Amino acid sequence: MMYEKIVTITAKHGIHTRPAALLVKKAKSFECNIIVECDGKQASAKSLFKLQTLGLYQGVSVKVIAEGEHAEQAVEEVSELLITLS
Amino acid sequence: MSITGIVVSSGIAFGHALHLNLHHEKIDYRVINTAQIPIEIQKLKKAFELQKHHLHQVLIKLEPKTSHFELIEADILLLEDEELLSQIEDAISTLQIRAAAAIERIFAHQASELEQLEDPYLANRAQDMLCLSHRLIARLNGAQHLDVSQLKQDTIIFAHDLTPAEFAMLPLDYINGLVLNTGGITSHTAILARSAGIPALLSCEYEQANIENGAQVVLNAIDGELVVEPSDENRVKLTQLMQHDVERKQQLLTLKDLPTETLDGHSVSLLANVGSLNEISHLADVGAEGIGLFRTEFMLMNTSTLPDEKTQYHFYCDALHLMEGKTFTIRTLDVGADKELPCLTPLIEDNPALGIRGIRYSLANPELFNTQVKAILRAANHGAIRLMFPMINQVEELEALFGFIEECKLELIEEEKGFGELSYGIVVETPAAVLNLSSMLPLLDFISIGTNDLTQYTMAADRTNPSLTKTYPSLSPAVLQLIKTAIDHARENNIKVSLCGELASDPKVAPLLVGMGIDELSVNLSSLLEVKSGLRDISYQTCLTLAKHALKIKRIEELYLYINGFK
Repeated sequence: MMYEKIVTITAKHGIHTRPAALLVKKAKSFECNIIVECDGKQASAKSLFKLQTLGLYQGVSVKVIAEGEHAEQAVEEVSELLITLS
Repeated sequence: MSITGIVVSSGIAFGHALHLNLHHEKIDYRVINTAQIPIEIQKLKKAFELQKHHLHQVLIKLEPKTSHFELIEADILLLEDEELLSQIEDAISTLQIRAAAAIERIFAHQASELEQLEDPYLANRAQDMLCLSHRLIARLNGAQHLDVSQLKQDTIIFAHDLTPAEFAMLPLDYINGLVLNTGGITSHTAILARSAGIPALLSCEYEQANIENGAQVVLNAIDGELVVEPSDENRVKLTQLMQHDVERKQQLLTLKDLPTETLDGHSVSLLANVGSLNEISHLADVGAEGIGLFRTEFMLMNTSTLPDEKTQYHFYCDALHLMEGKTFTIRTLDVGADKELPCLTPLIEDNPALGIRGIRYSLANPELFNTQVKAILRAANHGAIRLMFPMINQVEELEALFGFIEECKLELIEEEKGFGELSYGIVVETPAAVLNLSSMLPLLDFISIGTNDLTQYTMAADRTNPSLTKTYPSLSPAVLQLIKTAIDHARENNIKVSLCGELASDPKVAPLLVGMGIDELSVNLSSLLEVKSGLRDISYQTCLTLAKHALKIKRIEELYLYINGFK
């Protein structure tokens, strides 16, 4: 079963290195695949390398997609982090 | 302008400054053949592992949750990033390029992608990517931030720090002196510099002087001073000092073939601490009577793969051949703590100095240890070898070791390979080893006191931390008491006591150690003649008096003044 959720980035400097690292750590705590999609580009939420290139600025909306074990919880927690990170 | 530092290897050196951490790596972009591909991928993974390990080490020293800490954590996440690694691996195999070229390509691509991001803050991360890529490429080149082609004659090296592995890769013929930001008298690089006779100043804050590459500098590693662009007057003075130093060294050479004995004829074995065949070939230059410590880990420093049994066997045979029947003491692999080897996967530990090091590492890696023990046993068929084990605390460890050696012998018998019997000893380098000696001595032929680690573990003071090494020197009441206890135990069991730490290399301290009852001193090649001179100028009676008084002194400073003021 696939889950997805759309959220808007609020962090002033966007999801730069440090918040992105926190996001990756969170994503890695889940077994399932988690994808972050922004402006037509996709990246694994577990890869800081790919995530960096998405350009997660303040104000852009992103879609979090997960499939597999605990996918729903993963989408919830990753989305939550995306909107609370600063 | 002059800058000070700690002298770890004495002498005067004139030369041109060269900074090592400039990241000027040249990258080889040529196409490789397909057979090379897996080798390059292997190297790539190793570089990632090494860098990751390095970053973990840095993290230990930082406050968690600070931005510095989290940025390093982010770098670690990148190094663990499968996507990143697989992109680089793909570049190596599909484009048939070297690991360094592939790293450069993938990171440069990533950086340009980041640069295109509209948010300037996010776009700035491109610089971080390039920085990480430089570090990784440096790791690939053996973590040596050095373009050797830049090296000219008469160079004085400046670096933040230098690992033993990096030092081992320097072309020493071109290097007149070494200046580091970090380190102290017993850091391993200091020991290596001393062995190589290269004047070195450590814990030196040279950045304040903004020394440019190529600038004329004089390293006065007698007074612990660095002089940049010296005045003519100063230059003359330093040249005289250098000549005086050179003359003293020549004068010492006349002692080379004389016996090591006190004025009243008490003789002491004066052996050398060495780590390479090259150093063994220089034993005769200083009249060393043998080797009291052969550091086998240094033979592994410049190689990315572990030498097999046959290679090691030939190596020890070559060493025996050069020794010409003199005392030859091999210490088994002593890795861990500040000694990282490119051919071994580094361990990530919170406290490496208290972790899997010395014999603990060997016993935890039986294949590695089996290869070394079998090679040494086979070499012993061609000449006498004394074998000693580092970081032994307990008799059980010793029993486990002897069981291990018996199994190695059985394997050799099965393989129909000849071997010889060894003499066995331990490096006494923890307080526990001293306290447990009575149970271990019946199993041993000799002991060798390693004062550097004994000091570190007695004082709980990191030997690589320069702000501690001054406060907690080896020449201190607690360490002397432990040495005395070890000697007393050994005496009761009629066991020979050697001392192989830096303490023995001090010509003022050597007579004290002899007075305390040490039978053998093992010192650096560059200190050997000074120590011999110190012992030949004193009587054994005086050594005994020195020891009797020194052991009663309770204060470090008083002890220092007593030993250094003693005529």
